[in-house]
Order: sequence, then C-alpha cells, then structure tokens
Amino acid sequence: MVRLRQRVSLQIRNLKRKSGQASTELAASLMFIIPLMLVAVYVVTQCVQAYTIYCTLKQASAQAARRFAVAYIHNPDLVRKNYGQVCYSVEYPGVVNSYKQFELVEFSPDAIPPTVTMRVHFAPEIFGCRRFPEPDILGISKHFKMSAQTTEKLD
Amino acid sequence: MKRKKARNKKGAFSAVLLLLTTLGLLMIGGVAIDLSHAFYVRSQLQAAADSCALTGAYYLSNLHPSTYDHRRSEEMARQIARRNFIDGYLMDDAGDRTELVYSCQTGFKGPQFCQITLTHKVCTSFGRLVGVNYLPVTVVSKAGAFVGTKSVAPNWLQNLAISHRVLRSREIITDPQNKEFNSYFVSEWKSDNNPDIKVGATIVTAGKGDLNSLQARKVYNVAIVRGGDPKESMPRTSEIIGTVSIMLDVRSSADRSTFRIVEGGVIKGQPGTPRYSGFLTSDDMDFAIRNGHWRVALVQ
Repeated sequence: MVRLRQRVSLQIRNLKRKSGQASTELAASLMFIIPLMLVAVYVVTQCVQAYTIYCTLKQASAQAARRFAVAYIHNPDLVRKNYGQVCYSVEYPGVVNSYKQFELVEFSPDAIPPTVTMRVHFAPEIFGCRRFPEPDILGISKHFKMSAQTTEKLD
Repeated sequence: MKRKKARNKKGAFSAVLLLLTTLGLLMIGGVAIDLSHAFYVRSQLQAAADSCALTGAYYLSNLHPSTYDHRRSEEMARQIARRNFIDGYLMDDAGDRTELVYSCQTGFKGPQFCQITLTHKVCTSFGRLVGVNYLPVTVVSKAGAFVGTKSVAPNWLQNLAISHRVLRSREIITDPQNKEFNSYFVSEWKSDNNPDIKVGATIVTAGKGDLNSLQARKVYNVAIVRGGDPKESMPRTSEIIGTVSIMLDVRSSADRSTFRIVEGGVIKGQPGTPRYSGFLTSDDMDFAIRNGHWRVALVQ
C-alpha cells in the first residue's frame, strides 16, 4: 500500500515536471516566432505602403501630364511659362500635396509625336507628405525618396 | 498523456498565430494589389474616354448640328469605345460592368462639346475575400469642336490664299491684271511648308505661282485672306483671317481654275476664335466662319 502510494506520487511529480517543461518550450519557441512575425508584418506593411505610394505617384504624374497636354492645346504660351498652374488641382492627400512636387522633365512640342513628360516626387514630411516608414525604426525616413513619371502626347 | 495535451495546445496556438498573421499580411497586400489594379484600369479608361469624346466632338463639327449629327456623334463615340481594351477585355465584352454616359452641349457657331463619362467596375482579387467584389472607377472626358483656329501648326497650309471673292466667280483667279482677281500664291513660304501662323495677325503678300503645279481632285488646305471692298480691287497684302480646304477641278490656264470647297476638314493648331488686328467686312467674316476649318480638342 505504501509502495503504491509512493509510486503514484512519483508519477504525479513526473507529470508536473513534464508539463512545466512543455510550457517552457512553448514560451521559448514563441520568443523566436513572435519577433520574427512582427518583423515580417512590419516589412510587408512598409513594402505595401511603398508600392501604394508609387502607384499614387504614377497616377498623379499621368493626371498632371494629361492636364498639361489639354492646357497646351488651348494656351501654349501660358503653359510653357507656368506649368505649375496645371498641377495645382492634382492632389492625393498625404502623397501629392503641392504643385512643387511636380517637375517638367521633357517638353518637346516640335518632336514627332509632340510629347510632354511630367515627374512627381515624394519625400516624407516635405510639402505635407506623410511620414514613411512609420514607425521609422531604422531612421531611413530622411533618405527615402520616390518619384514616378508619365509621358503624354501633346496633341 | 498530459504532456501530449500540452504539446497539442502549443501546436494549435502557433498554428492560429501563423494563420492570423498570414491572413493579415494577405489583406494588407491585397489592398495594395487591388488599388494598383484600379489605378491601371483607370488610366486605360481615361484613354478610352478621351478617344470617345474626341470622336463625338468631331461629328458635331457643324455650325448648326442637327438631330442626325447628335445621333451620329453618340453612335460613333460608342463605336470607338467598343474598340478599346479595358482590363484585358474589349469594352463590349465587359457587359454590364462598364457604363458609358454620353452628353453633348451644342450652340450656335460652336464650340460644340461632347462629354463622356465612363464607369467600370474593376474586379478585385483579394477584396472579394471580405465581400468587396468590385471597385467602381469613373473617368470623365470632355472634348470640344471649335470653329476656327487661333494658330496653325507648321506644314499644314499650301502657299495659296483665297478670299470671299471666289464665291462670285466660282473660280480661283490668280492673275492680278484680271478684274476678278480673287486669290494669290503666298510669297512667304514655298509649297506646303508654312511657318507657325497666328490667324488674324500673320501677314502675307501676293507672289507668283502656277495653278498647274497643284493636282486636280486633291484636297489642299489654303489660307483665307481679306477680299476687301467688292467695289475695289483685292488687297495684295493682308493678314490671314482663316483657313479652308479646297479641291481644284478644271484648269483653263495657269492662273485660273474652277474649285470646290471641301467640308469637314480638320487642321492642326490652337482651337478658338482668332483675334483680328483690324476690322473685317461681313463678307470676309462670313466666308471665314462658314468655310473655315474645325479643330477638335480635349477641354477637360
């Protein structure tokens, strides 16, 4: 009877020890998995954001180039002198906020076909653009620059 | 037994965590992919809408567009739309996913406007996982048909200038000694190598030329110059007040030929009503407006 009792208590002790071991293993494995997952989520999120910003810039540059082409047909002199006017209303909050972000890369009215190329720049926290990356863990925000350009037929 | 249970619990927790993370990443990536796809389709739609609007406006290039013109304009705009590929399919094949709204705005002496609104439901790839099957994308394009041009681009005009006086004799007469002298070859440029012309301001003078150098039954874009007072002889120096397309028929000599005015000509240049530096007689003005070229251009 005493032997049996001793054996049972030994088994219970063993089980308790094994259960604690499993919890420790779980905690240890989560310590590796969770940071990895967090890093993966952060990287993917930032990449997706960068891609979205690029798509938005591309759209903005296409819109600006088209507006330039339309305005050029009606008043070539004015557009040539002040192309910024056509970019005033091209706005994508957080990404394209100011006409100063646009650059007239190429304007060839005498080429065949006549074309105009507009470029739009994005730099975090300049001209009211949003911060990117957010949160900026590695401090690359100040070095981050992105641009997109589109060429449109002038006539 | 208990150890096995604890291990199972650990595995389940990790699996759930992994699944949630994957789902989260998939959703974030999905938003970007669907959004960029919508932007891509939007640029295709804009190009299609522009071509439709320009086509619609072209068929309205008439001083008084009739109901038939309106109908034809809409029909042609829709026909052009059907030739465009949107999101990998011809627009017609997209079925009820694409909607084209045509509207036009016409007035006496123009400009006549044609506006096209295209709406397309862009199929989502990942949005449908959360019940968003379509992203609606709408673009608007407006084109105008303008009577007259403010300027003419280089190499669009033959070096021939005619005046309203040609309507009286029904002939082009370039001989200055003739009483009915009504046209002349422009001395400022050769053949059809005209420089940039500001209509209403660019002055041309009469030069020498031979009508036999021009082909019969070929359409030529020529300048319209002042015919002046019908009681006096035609001025030999004048500003260009418009442009017109003509076709020569029978030539009786090097400086005399019957002709026809060809309608529906379109010329490259800056659209709009030109500013004239001096007073134009009603005959000059009427001739320039009724027979002038039209210019079709996007306005929005």
